[in-house]
Amino acid sequence: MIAVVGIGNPLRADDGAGPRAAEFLRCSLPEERVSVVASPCDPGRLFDAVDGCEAAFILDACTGGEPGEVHVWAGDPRGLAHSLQAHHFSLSDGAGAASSHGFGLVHAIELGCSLGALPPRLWVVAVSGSSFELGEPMSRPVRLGAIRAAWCVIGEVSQWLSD
Amino acid sequence: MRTRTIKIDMLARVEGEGGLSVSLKGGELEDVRLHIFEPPRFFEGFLRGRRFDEAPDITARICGICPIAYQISSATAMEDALGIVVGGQLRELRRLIYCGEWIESHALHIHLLHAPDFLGYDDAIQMAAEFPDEVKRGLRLKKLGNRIMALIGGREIHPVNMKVGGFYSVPAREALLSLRDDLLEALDEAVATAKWVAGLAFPSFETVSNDVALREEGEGGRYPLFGGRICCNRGVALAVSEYETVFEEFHEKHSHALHSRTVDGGVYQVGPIARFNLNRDRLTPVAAATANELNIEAVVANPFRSIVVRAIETVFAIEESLRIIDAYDPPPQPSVEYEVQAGEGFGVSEAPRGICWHRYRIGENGEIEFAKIVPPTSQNQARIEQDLRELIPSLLVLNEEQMKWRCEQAVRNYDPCISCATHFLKLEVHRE
Repeated sequence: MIAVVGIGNPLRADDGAGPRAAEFLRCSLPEERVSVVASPCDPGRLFDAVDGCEAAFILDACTGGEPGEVHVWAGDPRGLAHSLQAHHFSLSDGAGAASSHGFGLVHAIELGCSLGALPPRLWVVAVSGSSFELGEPMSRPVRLGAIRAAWCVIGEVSQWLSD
Repeated sequence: MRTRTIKIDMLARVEGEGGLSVSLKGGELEDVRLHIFEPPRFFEGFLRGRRFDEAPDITARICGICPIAYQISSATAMEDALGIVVGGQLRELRRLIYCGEWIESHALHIHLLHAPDFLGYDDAIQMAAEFPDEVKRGLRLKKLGNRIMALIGGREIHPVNMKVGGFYSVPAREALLSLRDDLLEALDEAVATAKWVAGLAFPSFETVSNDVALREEGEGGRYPLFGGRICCNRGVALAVSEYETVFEEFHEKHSHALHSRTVDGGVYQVGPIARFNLNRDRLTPVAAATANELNIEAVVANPFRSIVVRAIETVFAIEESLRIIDAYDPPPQPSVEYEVQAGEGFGVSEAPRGICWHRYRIGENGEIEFAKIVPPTSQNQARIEQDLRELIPSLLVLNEEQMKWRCEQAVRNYDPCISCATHFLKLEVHRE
């Protein structure tokens, strides 16, 4: 089984790119082989979503880059966490600036490594956003970026399933 | 005189954002201030003019960790204004969803936010490498609390099923019974958590306590979630409507959140230790036995031991959930009927961090004319500052990093939800 998890808050403008892309994928991937969920960046929810899966794709928004640009990182969870830490793009920071009880995505992956709660192969597919204001709509470049991110996941999942 | 400044840009592992500055002059403590400098959120302001029955959903947005506290305090205040009482199984369902909130909030704070302080880790991620079973246990408990909230409230964050008069719909008995096996397992896990945290090394520190919490009077009184009287270990027992005769809010320049004190200027605390000290005799059997087995003192005076009390309260909340589920008989109507009328109402409940008090006045057309909300963290601000004033002299022998560590840990004793009051915490220590 493969998990696809869209992370972010649809009520915070471009932060909703992950759930939007997951929404596209829900109808496009074989449900008997791939589970698709949208989730806040909560470690417990993330670990539940990927529990027992051989691989997982995490869709998120990020800062940095041109709005709508799609970035892909892949690897084993620990290596991926290092790659993401070294990168200058900033991924989901948990519940956002309004809360420090939330975990950022990188921290959630690090915690998952310590707990052995993640599958051996992980992808992070992120869409660059420009506005993360509460109540604002998602920008057009990011809406398009979410579609490109979904296509990217479809390609990777198809490859994975055929191998 | 030597001046020394220690600064922490961000205090992690608390809910929301604020700052703390400590001034030392000639090696002696001069001042401690808990800064809360984010703009006020004006919830009371924009409740005015809204319909009375919108209050539970609007006030729930004050906090993503403890929305039930705001929903129950506002709903019961409106019910008070309307002259109705929500009792029987509807009341029990409210207790159950509140137990869910306590379980998720306490499990999060104990395992992921506070325990790393005692074990010498910067955060739960570091701690998880050596204590994976404990962190997993915390996540399991939190998940169960969230499940209870979602099952009754429709969703776990900002639930939508609570209303003035009861609920929009009530769960079937089978739905609640689906939680039973997991709650039984969780009860063992919560007891194990209590034993684990009771074995931590606690700083030697005690304060004179002025505890304020709810208490259900009379035989059959239960450990408080909502209802009962507002009691103090110094002998006060107030009706909910009498709160303002003893407690008042005031503004401090360094905080955008109002502080609270007794009208004679006294500092007090709300939260798990206050509840426990005033209601130990109301604990459920396993929680009481666990507290006894762990030799928890009759009056907990060391705020660092709040982590143990939170663990005991988690045992209580699970046991109470089981009791309610076993006795559950779905009520014929999901809510009590009422006529809209003008009036004033008061509501209070025990948020995980302490009492959350509300007062509203509604007009004949059902519009809210006045709203006042006193969250627990606002009430604990002065107490946190007092603890630090008493603690810091013993920390002067420590290096700066050790001192910062202990100050942050002392703030976290109260699991402050600064988002409820406002945001962001920084620590600055000025030494002259």
